Amino acid sequence: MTLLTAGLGFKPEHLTDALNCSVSGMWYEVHAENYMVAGGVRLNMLDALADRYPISVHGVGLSLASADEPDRQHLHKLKQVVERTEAFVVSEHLAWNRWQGAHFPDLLPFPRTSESLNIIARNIDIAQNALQRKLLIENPSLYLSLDTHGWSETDFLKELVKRTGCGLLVDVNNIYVSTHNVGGSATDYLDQLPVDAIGEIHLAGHVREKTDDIELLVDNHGAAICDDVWKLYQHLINRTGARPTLIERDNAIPAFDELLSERNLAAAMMQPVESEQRHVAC
Amino acid sequence: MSPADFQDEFVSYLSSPQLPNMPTRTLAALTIYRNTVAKGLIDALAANYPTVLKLVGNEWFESAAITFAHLHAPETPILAEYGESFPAFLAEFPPAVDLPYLSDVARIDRLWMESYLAADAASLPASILQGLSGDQLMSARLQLHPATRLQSLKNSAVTIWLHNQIEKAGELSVDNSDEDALITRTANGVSVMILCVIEYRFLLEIQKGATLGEAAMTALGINPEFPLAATLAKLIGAGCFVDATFT
Repeated sequence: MTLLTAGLGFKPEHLTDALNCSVSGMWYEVHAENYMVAGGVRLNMLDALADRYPISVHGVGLSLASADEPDRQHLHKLKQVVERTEAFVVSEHLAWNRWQGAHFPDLLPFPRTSESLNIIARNIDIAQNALQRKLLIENPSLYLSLDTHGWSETDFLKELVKRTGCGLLVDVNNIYVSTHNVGGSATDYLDQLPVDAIGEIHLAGHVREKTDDIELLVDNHGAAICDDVWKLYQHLINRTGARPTLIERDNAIPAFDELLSERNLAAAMMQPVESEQRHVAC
Repeated sequence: MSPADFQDEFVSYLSSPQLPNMPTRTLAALTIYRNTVAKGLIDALAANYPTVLKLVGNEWFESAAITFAHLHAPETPILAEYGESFPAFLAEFPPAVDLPYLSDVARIDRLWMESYLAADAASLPASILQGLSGDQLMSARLQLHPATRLQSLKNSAVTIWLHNQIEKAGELSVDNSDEDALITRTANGVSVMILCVIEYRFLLEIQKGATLGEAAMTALGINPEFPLAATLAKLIGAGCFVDATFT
């Protein structure tokens, strides 16, 4: 079996290029909610992609950090997309966006307390039982400093892994953005993550936004990956070894080849750590 | 503060027209969340109502979308479903008072999206007409394809909608007449066409469950020269019906 190296988020406007891409170790990630439809071209595209490449299904609507339990109907639809694509990995976010029957298209923050830990662990259990498989949980990008956190984010994630058996999706850009916005060291964060739980890595771009004298980084998935994030990625894979790594781009989408160059760079950076892993294993 | 209380308070910050006095850094952070949610809602409505956006432009559309979103948050994270009541909202939206066709144009955008995302099913092939006797044909009850939509509209909305599918649509003069739209989906994609009154009534009868013979009688009652074979061929060719076997 070919080792899955770096992949791209699938964009319908890149369909022809995506289907004809023959680089080794390629895979695609899809946003589950875009394919929760009855039929038509979207599902035809998804089927064509899944016929040729391994697929990662990335959900944005499960709202695992909601005080309420996950929506069963939504879980059922997520399961259908996962089964249809025979996804090699399924991921969701450490965030919430559903509140009293309303949905907000964002990934919202919460105080990391023991009470929220219990709720989120319960919600991950419900989701994993419904899907009958492990979920990878992604660290969010943070903008708001809360003085009510009882847990660091890395300890919170470690505890979720311990309690639920979930894995982690490490978004390096989110760590860069969050530590800039709310404080902390990105390398310390990476060093505290439990290596064995990491099933996927995300890389993306961000923008700087200044309001009054406050400059915040915004995780907009609309720019090239910056040098600092590449350095953090190198730091991370030196620890973890090769892991499926996604180039995420959802806004200001460039030509396929431009994304493929970033994807190929991530794959190339994985090669030395991969051979080192093999060497150690021998 | 419990997670539920925190979420209640956070939603109040997302939804209120203005944020209360608070530290600058907190305000800046909340503004990012508010902007991201607002952009997500505007983008979703713009994706679902592209012809409305083209007609009114970005600024007008954003203002309408934000007003709508404050009244109707999405009920699911499947944003292709968002905005079902946007056409009805536009009909009552005061700034749209001089654009009487806008609500019906929005209705067509909505039906287009419904057709685009509808369940797959084989369409009734054109060859079906050759294999059936006259009696078989007249007693057949055809079912509309899951992607077929039929809708009466006002203010020349279908003509305006069709005209605005051209990238650089020029001037258009309309007579604000009532029009009937047929939206269907084939392997070539979704298509929107205008039906004449008699075609519309014929198809409406079929949609209600009439046999082809019964539907033809209704049409012939309106116009004794109703061209049954040509109309049927046109509708079948448009992928209007789901495949079936006839006895």
